[in-house]
Amino acid sequence: MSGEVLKRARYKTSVKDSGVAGVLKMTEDKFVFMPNDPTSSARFDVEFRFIKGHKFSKGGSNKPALLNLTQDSEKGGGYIFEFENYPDREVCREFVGKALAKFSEASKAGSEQSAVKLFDEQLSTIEMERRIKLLREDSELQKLHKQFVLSGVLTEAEFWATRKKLLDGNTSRTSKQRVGFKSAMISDLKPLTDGRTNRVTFNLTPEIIHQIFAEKPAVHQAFLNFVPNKMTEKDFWNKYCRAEYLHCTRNTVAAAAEAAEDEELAVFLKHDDILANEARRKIRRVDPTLDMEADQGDDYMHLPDHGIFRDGSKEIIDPQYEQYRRTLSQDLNRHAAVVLEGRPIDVELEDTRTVAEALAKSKRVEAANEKSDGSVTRERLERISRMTEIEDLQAPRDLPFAALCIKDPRDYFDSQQANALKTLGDTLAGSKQIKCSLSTQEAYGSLRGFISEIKSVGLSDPIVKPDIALKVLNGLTQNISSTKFHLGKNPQESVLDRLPIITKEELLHHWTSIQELLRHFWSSYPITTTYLYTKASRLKDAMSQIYPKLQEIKESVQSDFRHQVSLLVQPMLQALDAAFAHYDADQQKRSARSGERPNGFV
Amino acid sequence: EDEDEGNGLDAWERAYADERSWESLQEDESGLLRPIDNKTIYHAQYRRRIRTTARIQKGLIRYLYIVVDLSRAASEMDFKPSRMAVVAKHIEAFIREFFDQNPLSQIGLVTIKDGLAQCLTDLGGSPDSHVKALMGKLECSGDSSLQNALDLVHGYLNQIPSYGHREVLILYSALSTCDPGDIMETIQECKKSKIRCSVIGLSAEIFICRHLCQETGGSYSVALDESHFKELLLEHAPPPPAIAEFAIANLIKMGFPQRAAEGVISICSCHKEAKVGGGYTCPRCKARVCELPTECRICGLTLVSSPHLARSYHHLFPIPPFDEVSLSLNNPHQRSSRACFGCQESLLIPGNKPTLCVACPKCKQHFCLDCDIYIHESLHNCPGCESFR
Repeated sequence: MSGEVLKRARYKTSVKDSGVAGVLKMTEDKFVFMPNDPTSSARFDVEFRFIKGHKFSKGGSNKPALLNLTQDSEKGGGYIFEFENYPDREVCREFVGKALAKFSEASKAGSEQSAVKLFDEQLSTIEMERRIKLLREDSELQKLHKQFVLSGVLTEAEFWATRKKLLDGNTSRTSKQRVGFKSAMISDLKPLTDGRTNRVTFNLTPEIIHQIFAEKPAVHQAFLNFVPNKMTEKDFWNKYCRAEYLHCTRNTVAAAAEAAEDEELAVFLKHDDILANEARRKIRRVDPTLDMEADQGDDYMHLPDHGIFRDGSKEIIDPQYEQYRRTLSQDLNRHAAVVLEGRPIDVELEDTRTVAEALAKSKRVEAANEKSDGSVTRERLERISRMTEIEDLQAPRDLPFAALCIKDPRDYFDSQQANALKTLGDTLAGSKQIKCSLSTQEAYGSLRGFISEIKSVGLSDPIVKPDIALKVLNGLTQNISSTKFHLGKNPQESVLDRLPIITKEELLHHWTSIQELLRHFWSSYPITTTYLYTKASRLKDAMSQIYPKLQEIKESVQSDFRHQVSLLVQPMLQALDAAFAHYDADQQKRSARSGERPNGFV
Repeated sequence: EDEDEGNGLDAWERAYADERSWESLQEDESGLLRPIDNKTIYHAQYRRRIRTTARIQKGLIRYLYIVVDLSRAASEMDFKPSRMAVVAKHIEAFIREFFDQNPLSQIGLVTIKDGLAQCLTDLGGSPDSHVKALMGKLECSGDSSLQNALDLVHGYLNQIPSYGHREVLILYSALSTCDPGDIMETIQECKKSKIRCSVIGLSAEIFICRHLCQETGGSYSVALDESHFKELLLEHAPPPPAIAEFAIANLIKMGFPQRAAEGVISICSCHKEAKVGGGYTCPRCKARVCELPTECRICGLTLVSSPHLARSYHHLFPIPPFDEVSLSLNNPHQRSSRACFGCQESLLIPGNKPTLCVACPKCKQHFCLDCDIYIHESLHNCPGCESFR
């Protein structure tokens, strides 16, 4: 926690060595060992930069508490210190751990900056580590990564863009969420009493401590003031629990007596002045539509008896002990106010000190914001105007529905046809457009003529010749049944399993790489920027390299498998062909468009 | 004196005094009681469900997140065996009904536990994966947080394209919400992102849920018992009317893949296995997909088949509600319509009671009550009108 550690220790050159007694002082960037004997030469002043790691001996009643700071894992060499007891050693070990972590991060960041400069984006070390880990775990991913990213076909960013889910993982999503304060009043501590030994145990978790600080500003302030100057944290909470116990017993006379003796305890027993001030300030800014008469008593200035009995019995108090009384309604209202305000701080709950300081800082920030924020009054006026409406008398505020409006589908088809004609017209320059217009009578007459012709002559060219149809049908049936016979018999066995393993792996590898390339290819259309254009051409080149590889596989396989392999390879080739066709069509369109521009600007 | 008494009777008392409800009980030949005819009750319920036939836009491509509350309150046993079990059972039925009526839409599941919200499944179109994931994760503990759930869903729904309708359905069992910040801000953000949030409560009405639904244009209802809950849940299956300021009309590109030939072997892009025959080929990039509707993994095109579109289309043109007609034996003009046109069952009941049946305003055919419900809720085509074409 603090910047340095000072402990008695013995410096040993090896574990068996008896060691030189002295004092070990550690600061954030170095440690210094001073032997007790001024004539001894075992004096060190070493920076943590040179220390690579630390080892320590396991605990045991007879074993010495050793801490070994190693310099270089290969060459050995280091500093062994023996401590008087384990707690000492633990403190030093933690300190060393923190210091080393700081240094290793710094060094890692340095070495990685050179690697990161190759890519265009800023990556945090965590991101890099995650990516490396994923690549290590999944060999397929690693092969793809090597094949595409390192050969320049895809950039690192593009490769990982489609794998966001792998990178994010589940934890990062939920860890961004925060949990609100519990509705249950956990700050109302109820102790466990042990009838036999007359001991009372209070259980304080960091969550409860956080809530106590949020609800009772006087306790919060006392913590910041007293710990660690006047008393340790443990004493602080002891006193607090004692105060809670006195409140539990509702013995205000005893409370007053104890408060008179112990001034720190008095802080917990008396009313919360900070809270009273806050309440007074809030009352001055309250909405004029609020009925303050009903809330009298919540201002901590008056304590009328609301008739709510805590723990079921009535409290009768002497006026001189008034300030040692607490009512249930006050506590409930304060708890509700804190819960509704939300959770202002986002720190780890383990260390009480950090929690207290963070809470204090957030309150200061809030107070400063309030003073400087002029829009607060505007917000108040808006809220007031909203609250003056009586809900039942308002018209229902349903949002209006959208009317159904169906466009004439002919518009779409006509425009598509016009587009198609236009492209045709561009490519086949010189074809004439035949415009025909017939009158209704002419069209009707020609239709009648056709019908009578067919009635008399019959269909001269039947669409399907019966004998050819039979041949085709037979052929197809044979084909399907033979395929099913060969391949579909055993549902567990897949086609790929029948092939030799090398072929199967090669095929799968090619398939995954084709999928990856195609995914990136299709996502770069429609091409709007030059970046996408270059990306598409890069991908096209990579895809054209796969063609010969697929051909190779087909040839390298034995003849009995060749047919199946070619069947498997066929759809892959089709997919590649489709991509190429799309690329070429797009190229044509662009060149046609650019042909219109005089300077040939693409 | 009797008159005074009669006026002072409550409605439930009048059911016994005036309407003699015990007379509707009848015995059959062996002396056992016949079940009471609930047909009219169902029919009345169904009439209430029919909305106006004004032509309004409906959200056909819906991206719906179902938020299941798995806080402490979900282990309450006022719904047997527990609220959580009942909710899970009905969600399964709802998911299947939803994909039946909205084949172009997608569902995702989110749970709330211990004050945090977790995404159980991503937006997807296959009902089995959702149901499986939900059944595997049915434990409840901790508080429930409405704001965390809304924040999570808001983050996911912001990424979907603008032609999709963004919806959230929250099944809330708790009576409180434990939030880390200002939930009003979250509600405003949801409203700005055009997310329509609806809530079905299982315990009691909560102001913040009502406020949320009012602001975002959703519906809020509280279930009284298990069958009521099922009814409320299934009400969200048909597409909701689109709100004027949220709706944007676009042209969306869709592919209609052909079924691959039987002899083709290819490695499908969803399972990474070689499959023989079957499957569909994406018309743009020629990748193989196993089932429709889906999104092509390679080129991102939405792949559907025409029956899917047809199933969505009829929501826009619902059949007009049939008119109630009461037949009586004495009327000679109605002799021809003694049987229901749909199922050919006789519409006349022996006895003097006036029979209730319905008639289509366009084709004037008579239908019994069961056929009326069936035509409007499942068939979406009037047999009378179709037979005249």
